[in-house]
Amino acid sequence: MKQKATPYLMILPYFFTFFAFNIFPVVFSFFISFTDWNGIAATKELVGFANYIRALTKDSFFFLSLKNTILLTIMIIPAQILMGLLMACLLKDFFHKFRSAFQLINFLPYITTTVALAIIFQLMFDWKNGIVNGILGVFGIEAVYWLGKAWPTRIVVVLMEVWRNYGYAMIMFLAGLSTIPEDLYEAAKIDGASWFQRFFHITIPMLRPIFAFTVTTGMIGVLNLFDGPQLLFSSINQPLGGPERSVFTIMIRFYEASFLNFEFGYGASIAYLFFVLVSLCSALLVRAFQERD
Amino acid sequence: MQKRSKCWAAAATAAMLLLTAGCGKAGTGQEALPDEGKENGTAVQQESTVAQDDGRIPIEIWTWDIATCGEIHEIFEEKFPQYKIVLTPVESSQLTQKLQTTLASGGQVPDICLLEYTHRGKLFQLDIWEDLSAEPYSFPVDEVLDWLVPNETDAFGAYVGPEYVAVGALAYKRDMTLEYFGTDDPQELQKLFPDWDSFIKAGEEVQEKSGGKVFMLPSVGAAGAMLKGQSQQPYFDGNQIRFENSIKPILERLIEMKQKKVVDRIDYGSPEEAASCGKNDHIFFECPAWALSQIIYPNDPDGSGRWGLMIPPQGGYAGTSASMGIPKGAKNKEGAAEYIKFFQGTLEGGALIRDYKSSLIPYKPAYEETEFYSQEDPFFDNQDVWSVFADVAKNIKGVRPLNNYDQDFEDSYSLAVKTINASDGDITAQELIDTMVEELTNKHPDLVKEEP
Repeated sequence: MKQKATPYLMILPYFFTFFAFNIFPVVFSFFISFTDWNGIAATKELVGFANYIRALTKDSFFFLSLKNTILLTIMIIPAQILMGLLMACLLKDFFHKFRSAFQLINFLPYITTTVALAIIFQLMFDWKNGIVNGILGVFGIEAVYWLGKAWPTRIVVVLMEVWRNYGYAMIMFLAGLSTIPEDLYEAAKIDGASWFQRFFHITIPMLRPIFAFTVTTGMIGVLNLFDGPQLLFSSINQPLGGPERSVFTIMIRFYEASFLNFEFGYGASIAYLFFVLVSLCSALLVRAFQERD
Repeated sequence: MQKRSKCWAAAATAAMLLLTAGCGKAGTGQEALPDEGKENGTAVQQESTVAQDDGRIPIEIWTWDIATCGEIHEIFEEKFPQYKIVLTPVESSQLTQKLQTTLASGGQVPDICLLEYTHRGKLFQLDIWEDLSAEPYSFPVDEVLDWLVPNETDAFGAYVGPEYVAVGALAYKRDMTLEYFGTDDPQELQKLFPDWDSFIKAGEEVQEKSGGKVFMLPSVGAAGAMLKGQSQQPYFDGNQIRFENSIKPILERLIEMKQKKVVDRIDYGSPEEAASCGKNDHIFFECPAWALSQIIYPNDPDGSGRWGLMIPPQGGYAGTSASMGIPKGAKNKEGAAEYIKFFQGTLEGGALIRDYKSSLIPYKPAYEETEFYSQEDPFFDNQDVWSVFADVAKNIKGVRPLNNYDQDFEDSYSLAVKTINASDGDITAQELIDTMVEELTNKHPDLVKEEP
């Protein structure tokens, strides 16, 4: 009996941790999504589906945040993948000597803290003293109020996110490129295929699994977008979600409802609606890539 | 071997259980609620006897105001050697959230919380604050400037705590006023600009003279802060939105200033705005008392003697400040009360606040003594700047009452300011109000729109 209990005791800490920090929060937040709990009150009054109904029928912020999140996803993901792929191919084919150094340089933004990135972008895109407007001024272009208008703000966020994440996509593509047999390229070269022909007819089809992975994880990352836009406008007197709430994402809406308005129950319902959205998008993407295979 | 595995498993399990026990409730602010400090002095005494290794009892303060406190805290600790100040830095906008999550998780609340003006309406709806006017603290509320007391009292009638007096004036660069208006004398400038119409008209002339380079003020927000501080009209009446007579005229004025290029396009409160003190693009600066040491001196290091201070058009204004509060669940309430009383309720503490933090205290005797707030400032060409602020503080009759939705209002207002800033003034106040109302009713479906 004692011998039988030992393995269970050995794995108990893991399951205990898993339950305490994974299962319990998930179940508890699902439960509070049906309550009007404000995070302080001892009692949690059950309100049924009221929070979900409010999000889907009355809360125009929820739909605004959904629209912004989808818009940013559409803008960020293709640029991020394209940049990562291009850099990976260029490093593989043209920069043999300094490949490691360029790899590191391109990957550095990914491991840089978002707080630092946000401050750098704030300074670069400042209306009065920013370097971007300074450069535009050299060419006689009028200063743009980057962080004061809706579309320029979105562009800044897209640039920041793409710059931060394309290094990760590049590493994934480099790993994928190393698995493509060189014979294929040599055979194509002998047949007279140009670099572009080899790229489109060998590299891209052979990288399909990497595309599936980077697009899916990248999309989940962008759907979770919070820290970048939040930190860009985190200083006092700056509106949450930027001018005209142009970069007000679902995660910011969740944060606002839960931690600024203290509507923990409503915030949890937004989180669950978001979970459904991410699951749907991921499933659709995985299925799309599988069908192509 | 098997025995050793069992030992490891048992040890790991025990460690996990200990960890979990650590996550349990450790005495929340709410548990300690029922009038513990108000009526039972001994409870306060007992709690405050948790001393540190060096024998001193810590007073833990959650604050964002760290930089200016070092020296005054050293002086306090010398005067009250039984206490040791422990500061926990918390961003002003995050303090309410931190307090909320601490209460929700059963964590230990601090002994003193700094309560940002715009969060106070919401925080004062929670029955978590000690009444500083009651026994055993007996803070002299009748000695506090009358216009401040209502906004320092919570929804349950407890006097939560005093605040530094954030009244404001208008700082200006003497060389620039001399160039554009022919005088650098504050009294003459006040006569030149008795109201905002004359200020705006002068701003248009300055633009013309300078070829569009010089503005009266650096930001829309700076003008908005003064206009808001001059008005007492409440934005809400309970859950009814009341913008027609409160924020609408202010937005109209801001749009007019933007149209006529009286204000520049710098973001309010940004480092760029502070840095503009040292340049020659803006003549006037919104100037609460604390801005002297925190904005003007450091951002214009070569500007000694070039500055002046005057009463803004249509009078001084009440800015927003943070009050102090002692949560009912605090460990060292007695020490916390001592701290607050010393710095906000005595002339000795008030002098330190004046000299080290360039702030005013709400203690009436400080204003009754003419010498207390009177000091020539070489940076301001030996002008007596403290008496200007003191006069404003004495003459304010009232302020806008606190409301549960104050922070939400500020959020929607900052969106409106950002929109004005991005525009050339080609929007209407009604458009901005419609957006603000939509924002607010979206966040709080219980808010009722104002009838046209």
